Amino acid sequence: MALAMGLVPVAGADDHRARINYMIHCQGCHLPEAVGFAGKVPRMNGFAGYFLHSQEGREFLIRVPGVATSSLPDDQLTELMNWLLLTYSAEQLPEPFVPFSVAEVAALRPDLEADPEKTRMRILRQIARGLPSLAVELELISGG
Amino acid sequence: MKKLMLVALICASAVFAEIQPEPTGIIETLPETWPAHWIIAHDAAFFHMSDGKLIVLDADSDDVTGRFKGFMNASFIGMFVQARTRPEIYLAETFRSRGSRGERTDVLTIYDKRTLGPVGEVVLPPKRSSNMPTDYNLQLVDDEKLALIYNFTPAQSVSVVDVVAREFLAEIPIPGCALTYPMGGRAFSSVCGDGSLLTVVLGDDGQQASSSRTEPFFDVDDDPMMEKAAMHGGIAYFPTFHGNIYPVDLNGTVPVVGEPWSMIGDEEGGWRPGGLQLAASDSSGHLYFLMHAQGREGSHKDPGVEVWVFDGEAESRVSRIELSLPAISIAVTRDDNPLLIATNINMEIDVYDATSGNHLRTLGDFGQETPLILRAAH
Repeated sequence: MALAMGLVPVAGADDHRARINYMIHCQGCHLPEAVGFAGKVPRMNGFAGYFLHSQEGREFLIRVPGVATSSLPDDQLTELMNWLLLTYSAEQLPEPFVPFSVAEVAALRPDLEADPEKTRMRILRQIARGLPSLAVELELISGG
Repeated sequence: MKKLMLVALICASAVFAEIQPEPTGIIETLPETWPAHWIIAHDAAFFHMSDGKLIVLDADSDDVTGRFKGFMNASFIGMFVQARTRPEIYLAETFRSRGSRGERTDVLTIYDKRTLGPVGEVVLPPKRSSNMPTDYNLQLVDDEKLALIYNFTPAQSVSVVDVVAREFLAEIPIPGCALTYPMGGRAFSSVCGDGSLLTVVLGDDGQQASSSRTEPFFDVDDDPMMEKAAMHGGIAYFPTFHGNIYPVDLNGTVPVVGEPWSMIGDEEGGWRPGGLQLAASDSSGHLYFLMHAQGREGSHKDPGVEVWVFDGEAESRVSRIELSLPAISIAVTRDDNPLLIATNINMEIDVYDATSGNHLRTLGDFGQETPLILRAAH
């Protein structure tokens, strides 16, 4: 699917391991297919890619506690995040999609986001100013 | 025939004369301070969680009816804490408008220890965590002025309630961290998923004044630290899956993590701590842990067959108590002749002399189903 979207899979990545890691480390709250739980757990399916439309949003995806404090080593966490974006939110990614590098993830993880809910909405509103599809999504979210 | 009738009448009136009508409508009260050997059994009603109970019992009593002192309701796995400076018990509860469904309301209910009746409540954000009951879902800080309630939606936060003014003050985010361990002054710590502790210091308005984070100090993969600490003198003794103890001094507003020590030493048999409420302490500083042999990956909630008693300061074992039945939860009374109480696998409460280890009695038949958590009353 990633190829059909014109996106290049990340070299050396193990999609199967990423999927298993998603099931072990993320799925408990974000649910199968990353659909989330309205009002409680953010939906990543068809959504997470929006964050990469700003540098702060890109960093937020790694600094958010569920990601930053996961027990995965940097390389597997990087693999998982790239897999997740390409698998569940390829349509929302900016062109070109620059995958996370291990060095980038390793550098961002220690800088834990202290107030994720507020920061998340601030970043998304900022991105939505230049991205009508996200603006529509956010209205849907606040309306529902 | 007439004679017989007369005899019958005389007999009947003799029977009535012997009946002394029992006085009814008497409502008794309990003392403000409860005797040291009274206990509270939290029957969380595991198979129908909307109607749990906190049952007050006299663990010294061999009289089946006399040992039952009363109970309070505790809805949807309530979490409770006893005040020491006021005759009050605080209980975080959840209600649904149609019982098992409908709009959710969370409240902190304030119970009077003398009447076991609710005397007030504070409405909370409907977010509190309804996990299996622990000692650290609800705690008091700031000389018992503030109650802290752990939330999980699964975003994690702590609700702050002024229990003197009986008002909700604030919600503090604790991203990636869990539960609430009371600290000196107006502060608390939470255990984080990366093996560190997050500490939040509150202002007098209950809002976050500052926060800090320790370095990760335990290994969440190789030897995870349990959240069930034995507390003494402001020091939380956290056991790990493999039976090491991390002493964490919570007396200040920054936790001080001490060097870990082993409960197991060179003891053979694969002993490990395990159970639901597996750690307790007495007033002399002895620490009690539920232990099972042949421990393995996944056995950290197995019932314990022994309780190992340690001197926390000397970091050495004082005694081993063989349980008459395996147990899932323990508590110890806070007096000079402490009782060890244990919820056994038949969901009864075994009472032991904590010093000698002798089994004294079994408390059953008090209307209990799943008394998952025990506390010594005070």
